[in-house]
Amino acid sequence: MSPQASCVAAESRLADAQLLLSQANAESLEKCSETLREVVDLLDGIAAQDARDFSPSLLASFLRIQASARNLKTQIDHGSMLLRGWAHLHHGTGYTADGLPQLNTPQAAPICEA
Amino acid sequence: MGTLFGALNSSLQAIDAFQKALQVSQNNVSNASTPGYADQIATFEATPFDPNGGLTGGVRSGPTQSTDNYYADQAVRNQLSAQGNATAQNTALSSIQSLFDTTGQTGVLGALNQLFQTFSAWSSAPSNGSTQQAVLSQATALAQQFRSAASFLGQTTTQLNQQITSSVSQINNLASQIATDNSAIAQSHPPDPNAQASLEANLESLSKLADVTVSHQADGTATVQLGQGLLVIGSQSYSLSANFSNAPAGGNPNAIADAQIQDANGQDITGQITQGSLGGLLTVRNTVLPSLQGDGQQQGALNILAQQVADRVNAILTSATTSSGAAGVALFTYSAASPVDVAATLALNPAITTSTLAASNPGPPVVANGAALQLANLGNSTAAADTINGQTILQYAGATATGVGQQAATAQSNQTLYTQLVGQAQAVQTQLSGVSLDAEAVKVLELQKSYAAVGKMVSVIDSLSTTLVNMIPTA
Repeated sequence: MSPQASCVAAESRLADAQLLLSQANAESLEKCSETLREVVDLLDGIAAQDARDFSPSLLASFLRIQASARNLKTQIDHGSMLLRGWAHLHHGTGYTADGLPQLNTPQAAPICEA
Repeated sequence: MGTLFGALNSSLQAIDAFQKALQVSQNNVSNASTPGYADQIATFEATPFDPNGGLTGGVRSGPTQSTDNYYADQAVRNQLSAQGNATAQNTALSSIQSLFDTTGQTGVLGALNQLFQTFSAWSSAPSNGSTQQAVLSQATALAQQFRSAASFLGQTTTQLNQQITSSVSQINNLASQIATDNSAIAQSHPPDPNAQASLEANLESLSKLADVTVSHQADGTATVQLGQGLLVIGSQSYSLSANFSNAPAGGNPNAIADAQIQDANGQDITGQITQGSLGGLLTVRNTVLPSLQGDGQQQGALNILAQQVADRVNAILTSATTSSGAAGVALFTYSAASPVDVAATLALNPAITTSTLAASNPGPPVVANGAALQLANLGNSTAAADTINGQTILQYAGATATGVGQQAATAQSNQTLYTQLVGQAQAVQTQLSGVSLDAEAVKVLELQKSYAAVGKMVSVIDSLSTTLVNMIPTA
């Protein structure tokens, strides 16, 4: 695959990942990880090629991919912070000595032997 | 007898409790698509069991609980405000961007490039009538481009004023509706879920317009603040107003005043509105447009560029001589009454003709095309007198165009991003609302792990794309 075609495919996968990320459920996030692995493979494929053959026009594609990745990071940080806040509000039991929120997470139920 | 009555009473309470639960379910189904509606959960309270005291136990209906989560609602509203801001900026900047063609083919930049090309052609044949006429025609075209750009920015200002007025009006209407919702909620016990749904929907609509802060009171009503001031408290709302007629700060006559938003007391709260579509409109109206067309304190890039081109071209021509030895005539005129009017009044000097166009540098030694050559190189000249803030004229023009383009691109990217973040906040809310605390904690942990896994992958992509950017051969 040519670097240009790989970039087009990577950008398309990144757009899919952005949508999957906003659905915020375990299945979507699993699928999002798989989609992003495909992007990594595509970019790895480009990086393995001879850079002397790269057209300067590829720069715009690389910069768009970089910007998309950074937007995805913002989405992840937002989702993660949202969950932390939610967990702190609903499951917080105070703070640790270091000032970090302490959560009361579910414990495994004791197993009763017959 | 007492026991029988007690048992009957207990079963009646239980029937009442389940009847109430059914009503709540019915309400949930009916309102499933109502914006802002949060599921209600009917709670059951155990009644004391003490046969000796005549207390028969059982269950009775407790107060209805809302699964509505103020924290998640605020997260959604925050992203709606950011989305509204980016959308408003993107729309306004896309329009302004059309003025500044970064390829240099059209618009002011295109006309400027073409003028320097005609100067170059003229320097090759300084006495040729066609090349002389081409200079006058292209100078006319450049002046026209500057005037059109200034006029377009003026029209954009008027349109933004109308949009700001409309946004303020919408904010006032929503504040009034929220006050009405508050009144309905305060009068119903337990709070009317339909009024709560209306309140949440109106708060979301308001968040799209401005970065409001919402605090919920114990009685279910919402207090809304915009900046430091109150917008709604209880059943009372306070109106904002937009003002465009204040005298501009600074010393530039004819400058357009900044848009100002005032609270109900007439206090200026413009600086406190940074998000929502109103925040986005104010950013473009009070920051981006003045940077181009000027205001009371700055001349604006378009006027700076127009004045530098006109002044330098005129200075070179008036210090030159024609082939007959006559003193040169200025090519451009503009109104010197105000620094912010230069682009809007730039025109070809009516006194200039092809025969008064001075190409010769009087020297000594005399160079027949010296002035024409100097003009041909003016766009890229690094001489201190020819530059603007250390940039050549063409670099400055290009940087102005690129700056607008970058702001528009950022706004467009932000619009897409914040649209995703709104959806994400809503999805998290949907995922976690209305499940048991244990199930909720499990989901939170599960989602956190998934986010961490996706985050690692994104870091790899960021790193790989940076490597690829660095691999592009430099020219």
